[in-house]
Amino acid sequence: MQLTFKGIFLLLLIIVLGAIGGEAFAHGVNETTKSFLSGNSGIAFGPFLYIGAEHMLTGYDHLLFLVGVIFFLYKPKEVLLYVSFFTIGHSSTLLFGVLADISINAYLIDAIIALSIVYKGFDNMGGFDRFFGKQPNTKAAVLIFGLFHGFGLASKLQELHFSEDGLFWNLIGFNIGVEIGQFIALAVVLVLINVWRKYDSFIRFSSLTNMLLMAAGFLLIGFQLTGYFTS
Amino acid sequence: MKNLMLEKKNIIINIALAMGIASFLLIVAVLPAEYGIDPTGAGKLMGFDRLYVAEKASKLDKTVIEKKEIKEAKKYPALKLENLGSPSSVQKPKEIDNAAPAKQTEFRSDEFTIDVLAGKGIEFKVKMKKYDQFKYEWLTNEGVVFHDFHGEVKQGEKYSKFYESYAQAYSNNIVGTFLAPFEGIHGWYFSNKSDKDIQVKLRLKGQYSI
Repeated sequence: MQLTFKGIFLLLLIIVLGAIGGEAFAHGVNETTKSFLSGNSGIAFGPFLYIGAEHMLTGYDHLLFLVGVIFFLYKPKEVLLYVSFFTIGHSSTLLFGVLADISINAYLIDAIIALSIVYKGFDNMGGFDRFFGKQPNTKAAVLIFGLFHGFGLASKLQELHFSEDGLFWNLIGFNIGVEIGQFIALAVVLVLINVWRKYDSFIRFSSLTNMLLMAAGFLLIGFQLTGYFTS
Repeated sequence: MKNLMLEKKNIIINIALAMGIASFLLIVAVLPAEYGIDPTGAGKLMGFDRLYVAEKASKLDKTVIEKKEIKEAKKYPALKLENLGSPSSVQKPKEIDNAAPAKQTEFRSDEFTIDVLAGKGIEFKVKMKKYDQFKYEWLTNEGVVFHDFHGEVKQGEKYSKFYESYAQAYSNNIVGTFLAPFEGIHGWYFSNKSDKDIQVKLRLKGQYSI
């Protein structure tokens, strides 16, 4: 009991700290990266690969959503399937958004990404079944929210105004980096969740965990919308 | 197992709790720290609001300065060494090597207002003997002027076509000291490239005459 409690405490800490203290490394584009990107011209596949991976590993909103998605996925095959839907979703809008130079307000996009966390928490509690008698297709939901996450990624890249030169290959590098980062993050989260599942506390605290997931989502929505209305 | 299938009541409680936690953290910590919005004063109490002030200051400073620099740089062409002073075809007068007088000019101080009309240039000079010196300060009422701080050599009753530039810059304010390298008239050429008249207030303290 003590051990599991410790584990839960840690998870809560990570979620809460990730949500409030994350601004310093939010979205993984830090000052050095920024100065590299704005000074860069031409193809720089490697650096962009790294920036993509770093972005995903430090982008807590994407990670929280993924935690929600895989929370009740027990089979590796299912995890792979859902993550693929997420990947297809965000890759297509990332590529499309940057290449077609479509930019949506970053605050709004990030608010929608935060909403996806709330959505998933609600879904995990069985909210859609209980309140609407029917659960929306979960794969479609992951795909659609994946599309929004992709626009979020695109807006982060566009903010940097980096050179048009070698844009396509840099973008591909960034995208592959994002997938690598997602893979690493997922591996860690899956190991932790699988260990936790061995204990009773997983079920006992799953409601609480999803509540906290929602709380983090609401917090991020508030944060982003305030940013939207004050800027 | 796919979902939790909690009771409606419990789901509502969970949502309320989630919103409660989120609102609490948002109001107490995130809004004060990120946006400087602190309705309850809790951010001030905990010192979270200080993060905002620090961040804002550094961000604002940076962007404002960067933006300004970019704008100014575009507006004002780079000044080149080659354009300093009179063209090389103009000969240096021999009077430039005259010896310094036994006595320097009397000390005085003045304040002048120079109107630099929009799109125009104007000269303002004072007489100085060799090795006379002064402190100077000039400041525009608004906007930036081009200035060429220079001197012309005294040749009998006239002054040379030759001139030596001591400094050129686009600025709204400069202070400095000056030691005349030769007898002659020394001073400023101000040029206003904007579409508004600009006033330059010039203060001098030192050895010169008008």
